Amino acid sequence: MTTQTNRCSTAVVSQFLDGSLSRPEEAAFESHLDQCERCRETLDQAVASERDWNELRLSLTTDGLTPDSFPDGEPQSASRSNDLNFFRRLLSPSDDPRMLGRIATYEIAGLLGHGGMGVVFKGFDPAVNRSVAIKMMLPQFANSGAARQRFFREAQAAGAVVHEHVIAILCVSTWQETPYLVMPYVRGISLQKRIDDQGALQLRELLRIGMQVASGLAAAHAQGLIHRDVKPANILMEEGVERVVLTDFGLARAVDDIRLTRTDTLVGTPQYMSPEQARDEPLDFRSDLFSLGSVLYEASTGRPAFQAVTSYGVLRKINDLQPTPIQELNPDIPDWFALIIERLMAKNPVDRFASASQVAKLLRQCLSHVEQPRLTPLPASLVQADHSPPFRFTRRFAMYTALLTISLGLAAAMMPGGTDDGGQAASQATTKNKNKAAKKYASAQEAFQIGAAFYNSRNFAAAREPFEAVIQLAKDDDALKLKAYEALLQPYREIPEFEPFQTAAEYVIANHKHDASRSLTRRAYLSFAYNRGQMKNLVARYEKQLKKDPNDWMAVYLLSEIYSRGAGLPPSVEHSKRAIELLEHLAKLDAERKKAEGKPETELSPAEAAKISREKGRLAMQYMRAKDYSKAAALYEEIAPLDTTTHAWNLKEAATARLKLGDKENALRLALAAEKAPAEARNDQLTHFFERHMGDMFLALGKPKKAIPHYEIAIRKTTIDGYVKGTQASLQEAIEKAKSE
Amino acid sequence: MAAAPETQVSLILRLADSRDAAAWDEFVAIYRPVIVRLARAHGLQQFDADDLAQQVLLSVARRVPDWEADPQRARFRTWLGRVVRNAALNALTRRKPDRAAGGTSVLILINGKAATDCDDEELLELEWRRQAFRWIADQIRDEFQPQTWEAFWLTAVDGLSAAEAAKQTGKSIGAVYVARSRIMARFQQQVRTLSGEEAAEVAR
Repeated sequence: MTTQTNRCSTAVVSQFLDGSLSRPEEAAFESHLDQCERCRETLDQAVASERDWNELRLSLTTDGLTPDSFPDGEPQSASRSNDLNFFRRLLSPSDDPRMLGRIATYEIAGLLGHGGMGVVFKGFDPAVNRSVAIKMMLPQFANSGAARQRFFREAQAAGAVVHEHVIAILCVSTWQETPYLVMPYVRGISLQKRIDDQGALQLRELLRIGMQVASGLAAAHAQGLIHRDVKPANILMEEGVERVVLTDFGLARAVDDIRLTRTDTLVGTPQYMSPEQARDEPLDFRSDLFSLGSVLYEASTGRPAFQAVTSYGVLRKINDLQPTPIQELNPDIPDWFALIIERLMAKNPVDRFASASQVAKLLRQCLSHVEQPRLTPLPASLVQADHSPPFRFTRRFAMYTALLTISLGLAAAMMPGGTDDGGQAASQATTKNKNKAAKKYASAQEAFQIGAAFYNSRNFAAAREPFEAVIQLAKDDDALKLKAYEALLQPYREIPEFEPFQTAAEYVIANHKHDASRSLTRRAYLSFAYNRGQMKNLVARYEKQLKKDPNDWMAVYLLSEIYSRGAGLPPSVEHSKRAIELLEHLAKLDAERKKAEGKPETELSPAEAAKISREKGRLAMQYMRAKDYSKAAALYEEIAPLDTTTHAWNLKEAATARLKLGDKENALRLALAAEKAPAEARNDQLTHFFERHMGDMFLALGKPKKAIPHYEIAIRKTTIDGYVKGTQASLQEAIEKAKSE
Repeated sequence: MAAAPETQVSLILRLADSRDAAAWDEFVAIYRPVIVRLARAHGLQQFDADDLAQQVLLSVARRVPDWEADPQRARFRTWLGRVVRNAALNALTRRKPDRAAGGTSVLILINGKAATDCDDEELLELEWRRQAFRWIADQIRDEFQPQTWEAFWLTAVDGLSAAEAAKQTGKSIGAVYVARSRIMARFQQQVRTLSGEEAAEVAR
């Protein structure tokens, strides 16, 4: 089976997908794809069905992100004409031909936007001659009593906040049984648009906006109301005046409304959610402070603090990670302002400011300082660096804290996310003070309980120290030690050093008695190593251990997986052979282990057997490419019965190899066996390849009658014209030969 | 009030002998939104749907200690999948049907047809698959060069033509195809792993 990547070939596509093309072959395939539309289609179809491609697109685009409820500027009738036509049905006809329609007495001039549950129109109130924004509930939700109640409750709650930096609610009512509320129309753009268009804002503007939003929030909080959705798109910047207005209390809930204190999972973008919101825990007003911090972060740097492909990814980052230090993205931001944002964005609510009004007051003082630095000093609280909460993402501050930590001999485990210097210093400090730390706890049990409490509140960094103490204190309580190491994997994942994770993972793999846990830990360990670029070191480490002791179980366990999954290693005969060798050795070691434990000796588990046969398949493919056909044929035939999903395919490959050797007798025997073997459960495109190869084989073996049905199936199984044509030509040839027989 | 998901994590940590905490996290991350959406399709309001998901996951968490006793030794993931699907479908069918406010239309949006009981399993499967795609995207992104990922994203998700994506990423059209099919293949492999169709051991 020669591989010609410079022209269309049915085999190359499947080889590419199997990962068995060499680098140059792959490059040739790539440049062939550049030219050949047909092969692109084949590739798309071979890798996934059309349904899967669609599913993928749908799932990643409709990612819980609803359009902003307040888009910018004037109503856009052209680009949103579809939306417009849809929402137009909610309106009554207007007498004014320039208007879209009417809600009660309001003339509707256009669509401002729509969100998950409602739509916002731009309207005109003829009675007072001014523009308004009308938010209307979508009719499908209006049927539900609970949803209606909520809409009114929100309107009332927001309406109760009268403040210059909070949007006013002018009227709440229903129209044709659908609830709506009326707000003043704010001419201007949202902070989101401003950031998108112009990037990071000037310090003065940052302070002004922060101060105004904080004072608006203070007013809401005074009414017992949490906004819950503070984000740049909900902050409107009025045109011509230096004033911002906080809008869209769509998610706002009264603090005392117990039933409603839980979030709507992923309504709108989660990017500005607080960690407690991301975890779906009960909230208080400090959640809004975190979101305000995220808004100021984005306004200072031009990009969101937490970005990921999916909503879930964003939530995880909010919960687990510190954002990039602000001054790395914008060196113009002074230390003290970066510190304010960091304090707002503290993961733990108690480390944030005490109230929104405190923040407003602080920012007002800062603004005065920036406008008149000589007359007004910076607030004293910002000058002295004696903050107790562990700020983690100002570079200088992290270093400072690290030094302080060492000099005081404190447990530095509290700050794992620092800079490289800080992190290393911290870990040295940890080593020195491990014993000291262990003395804090009365027993290993107690340390474990405290660690578990931190772990359960997902404060993994804080869980590190007590769990490390467990390991110091546990002595011969191996079960507890194992639990502690298992729990430590999470905090270790987040620190710059690789070794602690390695130690913990190795301990778990060596000592856990459940196969499933061992293999999960192995998977986590290898993917962690892969992401940290440690794969080569791992191979060296375990090969060295095997040189010392060829029966080192863990080295075999890990290396066999590394080689058979080809993690970062190029496919080759050597690697495949090594993988098989190790897998078989592992099976032997496992059997001995079971015997030693007095368990009955069992055959290979199906998973292990499948792994070995898959690896042998890969080796056979390597033999094939090296034109070592006799080895390839023998191996393919040997492994064929081991795996039903590839049974027929492997027999066919064995037949191909025999044919290459000119051994027609065996080739025919194998081809006939392939015909009878269980059909391969793969997609249509691969079935096409299989049947076409079978047809070619029988034709080459001088059995045109046998080739005909295979070509017929092959034609049915592909939708690609070129393949249909090619196979039809072969079919014609087979029919003619069959006639002349 | 229903317990927070963390309670389940602690249940796992304490009761289940620390077993498979990672698999559990992954499991909750994927199934929770799936159950919520399924419940929403049944006409439940958002917070009721959240509650239901909470109850279902809690009931599954309580059953985790059973797993050890299971002589079949199904893989943890496969076993969890089976238990949660049954629990979710039971919880939904046992409920009195709420007024289907928006529910039917949501389902029509998702599925292109009206809701009937026998569609539940299909819908669950569909939602599970979508959620799995989202979760996987987050997991595997770092494995690829940023431009490779971008080429995939622009064509497979944003729906740009390969030519446009090639222009934006500075790659050749062939390279765009190679990138997107390689990433899609990885998605497929991960989906098989998550659904228990393939042995769980995937090294990277």
